[in-house]
Amino acid sequence: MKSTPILNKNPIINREISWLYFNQRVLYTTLEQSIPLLNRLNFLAIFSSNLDEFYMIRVAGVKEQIEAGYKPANEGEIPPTELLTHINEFSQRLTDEQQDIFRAIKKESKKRGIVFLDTIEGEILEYAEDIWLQQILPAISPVIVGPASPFPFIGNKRLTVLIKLRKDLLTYYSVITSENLARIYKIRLNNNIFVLFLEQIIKKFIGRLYHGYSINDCHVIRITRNADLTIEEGAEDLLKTIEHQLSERRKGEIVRVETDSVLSGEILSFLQKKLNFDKGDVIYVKGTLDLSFLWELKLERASLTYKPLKQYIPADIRLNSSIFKRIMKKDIILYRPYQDFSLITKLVEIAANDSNVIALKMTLYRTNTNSNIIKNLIKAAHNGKRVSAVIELKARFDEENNIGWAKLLEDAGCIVTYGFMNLKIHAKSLLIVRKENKKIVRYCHISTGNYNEITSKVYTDVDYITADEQVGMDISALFNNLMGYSDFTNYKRISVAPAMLRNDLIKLIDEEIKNAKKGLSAKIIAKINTLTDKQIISKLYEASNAGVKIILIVRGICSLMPGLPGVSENIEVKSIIGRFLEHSRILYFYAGGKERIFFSTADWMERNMNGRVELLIEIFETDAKEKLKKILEYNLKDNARAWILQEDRYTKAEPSDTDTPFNCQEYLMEHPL
Amino acid sequence: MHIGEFTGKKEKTIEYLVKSLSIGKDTFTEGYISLENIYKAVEILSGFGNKLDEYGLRKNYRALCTSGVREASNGYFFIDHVRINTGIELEILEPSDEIYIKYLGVKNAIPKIDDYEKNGLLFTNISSGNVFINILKKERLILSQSLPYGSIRLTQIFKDIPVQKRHKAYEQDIGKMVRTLKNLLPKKTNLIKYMVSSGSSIATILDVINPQKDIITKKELISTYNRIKEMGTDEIMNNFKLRQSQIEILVPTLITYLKIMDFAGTGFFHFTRNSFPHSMFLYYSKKIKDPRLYNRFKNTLYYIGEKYSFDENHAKTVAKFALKLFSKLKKIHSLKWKDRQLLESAAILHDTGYIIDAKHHEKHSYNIAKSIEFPGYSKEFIEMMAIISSLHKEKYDINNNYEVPSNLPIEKRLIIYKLTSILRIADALDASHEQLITDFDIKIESNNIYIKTNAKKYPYLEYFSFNKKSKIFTRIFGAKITLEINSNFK
Repeated sequence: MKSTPILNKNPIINREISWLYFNQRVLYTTLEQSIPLLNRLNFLAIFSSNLDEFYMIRVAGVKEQIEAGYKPANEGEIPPTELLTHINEFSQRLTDEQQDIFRAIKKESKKRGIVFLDTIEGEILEYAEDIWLQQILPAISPVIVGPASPFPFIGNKRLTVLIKLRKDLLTYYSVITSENLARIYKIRLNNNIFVLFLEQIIKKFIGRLYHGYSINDCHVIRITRNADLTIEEGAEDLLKTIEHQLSERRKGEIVRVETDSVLSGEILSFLQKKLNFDKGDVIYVKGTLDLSFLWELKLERASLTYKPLKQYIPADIRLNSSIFKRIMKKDIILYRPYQDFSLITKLVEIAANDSNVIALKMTLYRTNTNSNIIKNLIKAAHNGKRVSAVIELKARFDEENNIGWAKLLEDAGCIVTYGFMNLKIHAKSLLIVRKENKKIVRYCHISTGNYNEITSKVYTDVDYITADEQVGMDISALFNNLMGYSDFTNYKRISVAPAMLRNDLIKLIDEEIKNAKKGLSAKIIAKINTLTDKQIISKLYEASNAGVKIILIVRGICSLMPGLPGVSENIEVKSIIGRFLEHSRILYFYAGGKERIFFSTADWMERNMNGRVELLIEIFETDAKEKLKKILEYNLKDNARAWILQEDRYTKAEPSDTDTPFNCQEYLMEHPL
Repeated sequence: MHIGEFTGKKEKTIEYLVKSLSIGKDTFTEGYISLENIYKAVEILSGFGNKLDEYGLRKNYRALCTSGVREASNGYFFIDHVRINTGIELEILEPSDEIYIKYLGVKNAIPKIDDYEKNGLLFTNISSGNVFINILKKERLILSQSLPYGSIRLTQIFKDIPVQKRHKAYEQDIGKMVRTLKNLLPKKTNLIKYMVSSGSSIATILDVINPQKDIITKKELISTYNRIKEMGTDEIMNNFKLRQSQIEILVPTLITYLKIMDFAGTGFFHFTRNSFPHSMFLYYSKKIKDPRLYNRFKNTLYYIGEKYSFDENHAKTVAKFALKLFSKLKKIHSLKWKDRQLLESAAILHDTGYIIDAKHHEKHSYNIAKSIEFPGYSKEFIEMMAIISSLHKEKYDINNNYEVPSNLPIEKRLIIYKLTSILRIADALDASHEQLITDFDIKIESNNIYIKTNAKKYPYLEYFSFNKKSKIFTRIFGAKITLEINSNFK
């Protein structure tokens, strides 16, 4: 691949390119033979859905830049047209690799009795015909494009079959869209599972649809559209605006066209005329389109999947009202998914039924459908408690979900607010106000993860529960601010973006720089998901030059280039891609020996520092601090799922001859904190 | 909004909420609050109402308005609209109560202020609509003024003057304010040693100055003012991270402080970050004590008397006699401690009007007393004090009297009648202003009260006056009162 564009003074890896590197690491995880077969297929699916989202949001953004005629102001920043070419070339290459890997895994799975069929014949043909006649045929409506029937609308990410027909020396095109059809069909036969894809069956029987025509060509295509929601300023009612936008999303501009086979020049220009896209937007998949559907396989083969995750609740915690006494005595810190998030769900339930609780407040960002938390908030409202929910409607791809819950909560008499027009609320907090002996006592839960019972089994996150008065004060003020009750925020224990979080981080780094310059030890360890914020990056380069030892564990995009002589020699960057999605953000500063530990909801991106409400909190309690330190330690020790970034290149970490392999996630499963 | 909690004596802030809305901007320019801002206020107060519900405080709060509403011609409409739409009952705070609460808040935060008061203190509170100034020395309130200046008020008055010239207008206008103050003070130097300040202006100043301790020096203010004068709005915003609304008031605020410091002759002042809602919270939950309040008030009344060249010995004697009668006749009048203060205050001031004209001196005494503003004492108290001091003259038949305003409730009027009766007796006992009578005994026998006394010389005038002035006493208390004088010459 071409060398990455570099900024002169502060070398920066382009974030889109860095993201593609990340997805490449996800893809290469499917090569790990130690990962069970079906889970490797899941990684293939993740790669695909990641790439979809990347096109819908990021590539859409790059295209918008091109359309607007944006020219980079900084020397060294890659112009959007050039960047788009890079992205499409890189994506094409990764897609090719993905198909190669899929072919290899298919061979392997065949040996294990899971057969992805390439051709439909023999015994299978009969089953396939049944599926065709009973499930597919009634649901499709092929359109022959002509003056009376215009080219149908093709929705975002819909699999579509395009057929070129000939009749009486004339060419016709027909389109079959696949709304509401299952993608995968499983046939169980002779202890084997045969897997067919929808488009395979359609192609097999397609001749029956066009009597009198000859089928000249048949392609499966898939269109990806711009799906970035931009809320117009001054939108009066956020809820209504988003509802409207959701229906608009289907009609976003096309950003990518995937085909299963090379399109002839004629077909391509026909499609371009009808759909309005550029030649460069086409990705030839040369295999099976959209592998995100591999998630739908849902095969239960214990031998071919990860061993089940056991989640623990700390032994000294009882799930009843006595939990408040326990919190009062000592902070609780949990590390998901090794420890059980249901403790938090339960906490809300206990609070909803506790006669001393007078109020409950909560931020809701990406909550799962059927959320027990929401049910209990409603219950709390029915039990006469003041319940307030700050719902972030702008959580991407979750808007529909959020609107549903918002309405339910409002009907139950909860106070529901929707945050700010131009700021996404990313901070996650729960506040329980209790009256104990006529005194107001506040219990706070702060987390790096969402209140989502499903993702809590897959993401790693920190949960922190405390009855600390100052934290209670700060979180109360935060809610007053989020709910529009107050503009006054004199936070003492927490730091909040956009106002202060970046400055506070920079101050912390500056402290290390100061110490390093005095010749004292200075060290920073940060575990985050993304690093693109230019101010922070340049501060980290400055720290590296001052002699501060910096280790960054950045799961995804990292625009910082480590190990560049004279720039970042003292910086190491690693990335862990494992069974669980690394999502917690934990920060460590040596602070002249004081060892200050923080966790945060914020990634180090301009977006998070400027356009989101994010939280950073320092942990003082010794036990909790120790636990967070341990998490960092295990992450640093990982040499099984870790990747090392050197300048602008990632290589897989390999245990040296003397090292024993260490898989941090597996270790934490066996040894929860 | 301040929500607090007491556990025993320990006070804890539960919540502190601030939402800014410049009602004053409307009031100080148009004279009334615009409909738009009334709606906005309702929205803000609905949020506050939710907080009241959250803690179950709907029956346990005070919500007070200051100048922005107080001076608005539609202030009562505003209050009514807020009540209907949010359920929150707003009250208007009188200026003297406002400054008293602010002053107590500061006193609570800076305990050393007691010392400063003895040695000469200028206390100022600069808010958006008013500049309050109190000058205290030796436990006397030398001056108490609520001046219609304030930062927002000024920006509104001069909003049509071009930006480049505006600071000159501020300088001149605030200069005028300070000259007015100077004229009110005795021509004595070194009156003020300390200066203490509070008010919303402090927060703005702190954003640009950032002092280490709770002290701001004149030097810092001058250098900041000189810097800011040369800067544009954007520059100020970037340099000091201020909001537009703060920038507008920055220059008038700085000038106000500088001019007041010039006037006070101090090189620095103490400040407190104590918020007004917090002071209110402490005051209304009766957690700030001010045991020296009455003492300060009394000392101030004597100081005022001095200003009007009253007969201090007479005033002191009448006050002493009045208090003695008050305590000995407790069974008969059944009045309260606060009424005793009323009596003593009226006694001190009753003859101050002499300086203007002897014949109608009681009317002038009334006017002098009525004009007193003293933080911590209500308008009603001052009014009653003024009425009682004027009624000391027996020509007024208070039973069918138009001198006692009928808008006062009957209980209050009754207090006035009773205290007037006592004051007249006390005044009669020093009718000659020569302190011929220095003390007396009181004997109560069923419906007869005997005042027994010795006199240096036979007090013809006292005796004569007593007979005239005691009539009312009999009518009010239904008891006959007799003066028995034992004189060596009788």
